[in-house]
Amino acid sequence: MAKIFRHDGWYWLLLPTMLLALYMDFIWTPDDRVLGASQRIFYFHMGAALVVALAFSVTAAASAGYLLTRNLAWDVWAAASAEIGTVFTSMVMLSGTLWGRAAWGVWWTWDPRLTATLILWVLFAGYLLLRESSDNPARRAAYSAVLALVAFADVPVDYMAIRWWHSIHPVVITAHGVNMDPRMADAMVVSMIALTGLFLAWMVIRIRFLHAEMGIAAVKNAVRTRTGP
Amino acid sequence: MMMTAQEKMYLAFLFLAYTGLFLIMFGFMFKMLRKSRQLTHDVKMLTDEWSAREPGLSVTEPSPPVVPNVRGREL
Repeated sequence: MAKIFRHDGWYWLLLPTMLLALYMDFIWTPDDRVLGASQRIFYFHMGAALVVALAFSVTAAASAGYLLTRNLAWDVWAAASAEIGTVFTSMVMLSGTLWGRAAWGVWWTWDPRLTATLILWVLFAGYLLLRESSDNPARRAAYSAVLALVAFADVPVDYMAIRWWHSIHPVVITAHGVNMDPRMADAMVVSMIALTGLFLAWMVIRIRFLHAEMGIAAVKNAVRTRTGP
Repeated sequence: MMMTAQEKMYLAFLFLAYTGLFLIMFGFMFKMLRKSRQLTHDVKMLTDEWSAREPGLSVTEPSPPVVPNVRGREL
């Protein structure tokens, strides 16, 4: 088992999961009575939205971890997860725009859910810009950790926006369960699992590269300190 | 709303197109996983080697923000 993880054997699980998700989304699920085939955008949209919530939760937890321990390993987790979360937020907004055009007849409307998602995207794009603004690793980690914790406040607001305020965005997950055809719900769950798998694989790659960057920087500093520039 | 045969064919094409895109991405990510594992191994070797020479070397504690790139004597 340890060998499978050491040699990245787990990654092969992503292949059948994603192929199954694509098959279910495009071929297996029935058409929506009103929206027809354009409903299929939804499965990808929901999967990406779950990854956004997961990624920014990891960023917030790792940022808190950094502020408590001042260990840069936490900052690496926060940065990697924020980068991937921002890409997935872009996917959510793009797929939502396409779905909105088919369902509502407009590309964009200032609905509470859409607005909260746009704010989330801007906040984490700002987080990534902030990380580029300092060469001091400790200062960069501290400032970006504070911003990540502030930005994370928008994640529950985004989730609850359609429940707290008047919104035209559909409420899929209710207190009485998932509000859709069982086959559609199955396709949604498989898409969520597949996209979460993609997020995990991407996280492993980014964390390894960021750790390697840190290791090289530490050795470079040690070499320069000893031998001079 | 029932799908026509042509719409079903379009969906099948979309499925094949997205499957192709995913397979390309899967291959690329597999390559990146392999490279990142190799890089992690190489950097660990390097830091272990330097840790033996520089006992204070740490990759999880912040290094000085700016390492001077000119020699003090020559200023």
